[in-house]
Amino acid sequence: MRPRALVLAVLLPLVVYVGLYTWNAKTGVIDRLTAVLGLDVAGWVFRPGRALERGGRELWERYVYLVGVRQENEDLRAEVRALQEQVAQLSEKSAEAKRLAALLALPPLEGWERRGARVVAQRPGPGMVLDGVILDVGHAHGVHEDAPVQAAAGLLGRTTRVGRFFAHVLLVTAPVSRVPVISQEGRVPGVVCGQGADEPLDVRYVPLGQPVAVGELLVTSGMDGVFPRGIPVARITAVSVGEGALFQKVEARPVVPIDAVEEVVVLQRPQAAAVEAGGQ
Amino acid sequence: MRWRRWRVPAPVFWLGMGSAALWCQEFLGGRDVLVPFILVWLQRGRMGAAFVAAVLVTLVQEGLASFALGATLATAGLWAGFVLAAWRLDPFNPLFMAGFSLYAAWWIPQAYGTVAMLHDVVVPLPSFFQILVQASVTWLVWVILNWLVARQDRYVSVSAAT
Repeated sequence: MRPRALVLAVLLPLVVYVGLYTWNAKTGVIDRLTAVLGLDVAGWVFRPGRALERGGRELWERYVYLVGVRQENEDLRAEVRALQEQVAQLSEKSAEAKRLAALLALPPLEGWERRGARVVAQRPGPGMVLDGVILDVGHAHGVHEDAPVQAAAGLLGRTTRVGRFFAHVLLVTAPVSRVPVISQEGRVPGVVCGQGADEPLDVRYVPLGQPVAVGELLVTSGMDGVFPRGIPVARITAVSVGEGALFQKVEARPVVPIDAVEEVVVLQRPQAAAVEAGGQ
Repeated sequence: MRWRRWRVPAPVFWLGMGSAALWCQEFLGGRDVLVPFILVWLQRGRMGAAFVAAVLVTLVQEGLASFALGATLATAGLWAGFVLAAWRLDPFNPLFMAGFSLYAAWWIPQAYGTVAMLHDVVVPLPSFFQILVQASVTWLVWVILNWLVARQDRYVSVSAAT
């Protein structure tokens, strides 16, 4: 290959890539395109996958239950098996009902509407470098970008990229996540910053001399206009003051067991939902 | 032949394999299982099929990614790397496949990390052990796909001869 051709072969793709990147940063066309094509296609694949996984788990649990059974009578054995299958199914349903009841029992938030959703995938690919999950709701259900997502125990995160039927949620543990909070007892403000899935949350800008204690609950302050006021976010696990520091160093742990979340509610303001529905 | 009646049509086969790979990706905590779908065609020099596979894989990975154009950069780097590596080496050699799997396992997080950096976000890069695990996954899926495609090619040539 001649030097000029070699330079062209390297430079041309680079220029095209940078051009695409800049164009997308300005217009967001590629973001929207991939959200509609890639995300929605993958979402439709993940949804039955979750159902299969649940079915497989139930089957496995039933098998384990049956290993210890020593019944001589074949009829009784069959009956026990049938009953165990029923119990396994009912216990799964009961657990789901409990989780849904916990969601329904959440106190109403003035000026916000709720939309139920299921988590269809967690860490679905190598590109999800920020902690996130995928929900089975999208523009078609009136869900828009930056909508707060709440589990029964507290705040899970907010939607970032929304396709027609599926949406990405940026979790509170993600390194770019910022949630303004206030401590429930002392009413001390701060900002909860994610540091990654296995790291504690960093609570920044907590003023010196303000009363914050280990174990205290942090709830959303509503100061950013994205999250409604009063949703539990995290519980304080450590408080310290560095020498010459302007703020207290506070660490916290999310109140939501992120890996175990299956059902959530997406919060949205009625006017935003109406605009989305009108745009369909 | 009897078994010919039971042959799964290619689109259904690839749809099934692609869906299974996507489920595996989630089951394995986000490890890349789709890359071998491009490599298996590049290996055979079937650039048209490789291009279609690359577009589909990139679209899906872009849809699942946190930042746009990371998957595009990853696929472009893989394609360029493969063309360069296969220039003088035999792409069917098991050592080549293992080596290229290692390269893919190292390169893909670099590509996503680079795009995250453009957004002023620093993401932790995988450890050597994580790269080895990803390389093993890529290699294993590649070997399986390679065997399946070779079987398919044999079937087509036998059918044509008879």
